[in-house]
Amino acid sequence: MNAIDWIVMLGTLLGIAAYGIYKTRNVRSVKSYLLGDRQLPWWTIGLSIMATQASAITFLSTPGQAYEDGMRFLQFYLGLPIAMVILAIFVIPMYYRLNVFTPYEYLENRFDLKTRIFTAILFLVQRGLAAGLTIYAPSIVLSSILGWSLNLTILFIGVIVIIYTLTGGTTAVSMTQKQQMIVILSGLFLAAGIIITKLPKGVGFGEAVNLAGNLGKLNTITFDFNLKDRYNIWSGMIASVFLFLSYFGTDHSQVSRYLSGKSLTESRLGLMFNGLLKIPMQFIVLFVGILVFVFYQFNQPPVHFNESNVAKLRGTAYEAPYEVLKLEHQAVFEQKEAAMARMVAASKNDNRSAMEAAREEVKVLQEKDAALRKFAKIQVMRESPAAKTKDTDYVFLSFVMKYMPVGVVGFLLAMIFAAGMSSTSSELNALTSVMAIDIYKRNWVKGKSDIHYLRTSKLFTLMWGLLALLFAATANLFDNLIQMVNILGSLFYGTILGVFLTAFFLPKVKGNAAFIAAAITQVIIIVLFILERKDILPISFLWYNPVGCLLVMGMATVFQALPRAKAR
Amino acid sequence: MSHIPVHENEPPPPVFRTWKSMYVFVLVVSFLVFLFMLWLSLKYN
Repeated sequence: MNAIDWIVMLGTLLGIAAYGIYKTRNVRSVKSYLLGDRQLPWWTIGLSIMATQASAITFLSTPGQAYEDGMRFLQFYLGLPIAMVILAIFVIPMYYRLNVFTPYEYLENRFDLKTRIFTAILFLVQRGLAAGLTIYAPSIVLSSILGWSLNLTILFIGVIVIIYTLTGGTTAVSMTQKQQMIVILSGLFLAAGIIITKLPKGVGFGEAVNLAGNLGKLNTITFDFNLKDRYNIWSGMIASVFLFLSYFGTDHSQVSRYLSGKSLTESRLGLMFNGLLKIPMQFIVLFVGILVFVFYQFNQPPVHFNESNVAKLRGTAYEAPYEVLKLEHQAVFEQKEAAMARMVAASKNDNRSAMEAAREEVKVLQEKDAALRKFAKIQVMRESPAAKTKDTDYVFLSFVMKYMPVGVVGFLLAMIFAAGMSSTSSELNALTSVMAIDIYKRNWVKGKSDIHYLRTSKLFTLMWGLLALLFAATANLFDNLIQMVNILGSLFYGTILGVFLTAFFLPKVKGNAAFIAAAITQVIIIVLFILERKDILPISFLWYNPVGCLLVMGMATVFQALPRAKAR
Repeated sequence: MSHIPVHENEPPPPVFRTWKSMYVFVLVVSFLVFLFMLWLSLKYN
């Protein structure tokens, strides 16, 4: 990487971290450390909510997903605005009225201590693991590009985040997230703009959209109902509403963002901001992947995007077959390039029959290309059976490194790291709040001074930061990072949401009934997940959210109606 | 805790007369985004 890129990247990342530390140097109380003295305006809350959700995984995996699978992932977010409105109407006022630090505190008011502890522990397990993954994802990228060891890279990213989160608490998180979101949004537009300028002469923005559409990449809505399929209109409109209700309404990494608002109005507006802008932002991220796809129709892409996998083949018996594959791949690309040129010409002349013929030709060649890419993966697996061959996470980054101008490379890398840091800092801060308020202060050490709890909170930030680093250092690359984080969430989110919705909407249900229903549901969801992994009951993880939620509500109602529960 | 507060006595931002109109605005804009996505899918299929 060029020295200018290093300066841009480190300058951006360290500048933001230093700004956060400087602005929050006077944090003196637990309320200030965990709730930021409730001073944030709506637009900072909105940006902070978006920055928390948009991790480095978003910018590594999503463009690659669009490159391979088109835009249908966008449907996943269709339920988000609905969830935002429901939360703004029903949930935020409740948290404000009770003046809680964490959502689990509310559950003790409504049910009992054990339900609060149960949901808090579910959160700590799930978010603790996710914090490790959000450090791990950008580390793979940096280590593969700079040739650093993975563990050193994990340490480098983790330490910056831990320092500013530990020193400034939630205000440092929000302050830095604001800057990080500015870097992220400008990076996205910059990347899209530069890719468009790199398309061949005669292929502008409109033509690129037309070509991508004709090659089936703009399939944003799919109506096929399939429980196994993660991204279709039904899972987007039904299952993901439950996921987002749980994520934004009960996951403290998000709740802590809007609980730091100046007032109920500011918090509500922050959520509305997210509801309005999330889908357009995700659209742009996916669209960058589509533009990379169009670019690679006119410029030869690698057979396999993960160069470290390819490097492992050198000097082995699989190098020669791989070289043959590269030659075949080149031949297919040249035919495809010619067919694409015919497609562009036909499109400009509005010659539909020529357009259709060229399109069919390109599609056949794409199938050949896909087969060659599959063979390349087989070579990688033969050499190293444990190698992860899914290379879509590398599509965008390998493009950036190879084709983006000096300076922009550094800025786009800063964008990816900023995204990773923004979500990790929120997670560490939320883990700290739950540990300090729901576990430590409530159960272990009561009645100490404010400064004691402030110091303990800082120690918890350090502890969770170190645990996240440890997890990141031992995690392995799952089949697809973005899906793994969502799967982790979905194993617990349905149950937690069920407990909260029972608390909100089923006033007759008491603590014991809700607790037993939640415990049984969690076991059922884990069994469903195991059955899915073994292909016995294939249901997409998104559906665990409504299933878990409705099971808790249904069982809690039944248990409460039993004679013994009534007697209590 | 059995009472669910639906409306808080707090004014919405000045451009909206009620909170309800603001929620409707967010949902209508989102629906328009959905229609755009649908149009994009149908155009090329």
